[in-house]
Amino acid sequence: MKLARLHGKKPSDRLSFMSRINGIKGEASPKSVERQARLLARASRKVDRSIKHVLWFPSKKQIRLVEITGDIPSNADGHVHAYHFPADPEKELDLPMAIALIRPEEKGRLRLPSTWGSWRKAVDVSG
Amino acid sequence: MTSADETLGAAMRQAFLKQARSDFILCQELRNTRNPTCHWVHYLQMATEKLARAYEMDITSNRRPAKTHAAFASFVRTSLQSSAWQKSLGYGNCTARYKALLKRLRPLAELTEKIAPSFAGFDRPNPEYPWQDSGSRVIAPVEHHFSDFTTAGPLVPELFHLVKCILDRDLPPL
Repeated sequence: MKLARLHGKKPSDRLSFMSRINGIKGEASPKSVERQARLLARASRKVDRSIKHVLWFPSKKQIRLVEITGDIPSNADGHVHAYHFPADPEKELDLPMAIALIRPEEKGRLRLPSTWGSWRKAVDVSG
Repeated sequence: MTSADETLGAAMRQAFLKQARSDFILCQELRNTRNPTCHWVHYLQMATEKLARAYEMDITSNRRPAKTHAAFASFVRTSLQSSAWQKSLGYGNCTARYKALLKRLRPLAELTEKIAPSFAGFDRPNPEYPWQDSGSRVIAPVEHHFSDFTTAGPLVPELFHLVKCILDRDLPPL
């Protein structure tokens, strides 16, 4: 069994394997999630120069980002809409991702997904 | 219907994808007929909207889907990160070419989103309901050419390829 071969490896390797086989069950330490959130934020801003800031909403099970850009239409229904993608271990992203795009003036005003907590929990990972 | 160990989110995602695939099959069939353009454009708009809504579903939760037209353009932009999709689309490790494709498709993705009747209202072209143009002329969708779609050159086939690859990747074969 593959799990046996992972015995003795770093926790992040095991997490990566678990993420690959089930995509949703993995959990990671807060530091590891923050590292992944910053990695994803950096990659997003590199690809899309219109993204000025990226906010991270801490969770052990998911990388939750709100990307802020002036280059999208205004939100029509007052809710943050995040799109969900599976873990991407090749890019060292071991947890599933939830990514939303909003306009700068919508920050703090739109309603977050119910499990994300409040805007006060947001950490700026743009740097 | 959800099984005991399946969340509502996971079941909803699959259901949205199935419906998106059915809309998309009809879109392709209509595009190959002499029927007015509005019909395949309508099915394209519905298929892409449902595709975006499928990925709005958090498969780990039992949250119900939001009552909104999800933004296909935002979905395409956020999907940039996925190396798995990059491979499914045949771009292997050519990240730069994959990013260029998604950048190229962005205006068409935005257009596809904006022609939904809920966005277009009764003042702008949409493939479903009549509208009044700036010269006060009332136009039925069947009379409109939707030239942004018919003259988009290779972009429409590229968008079709993107949608088909995502659906094929995430749904069992028919």
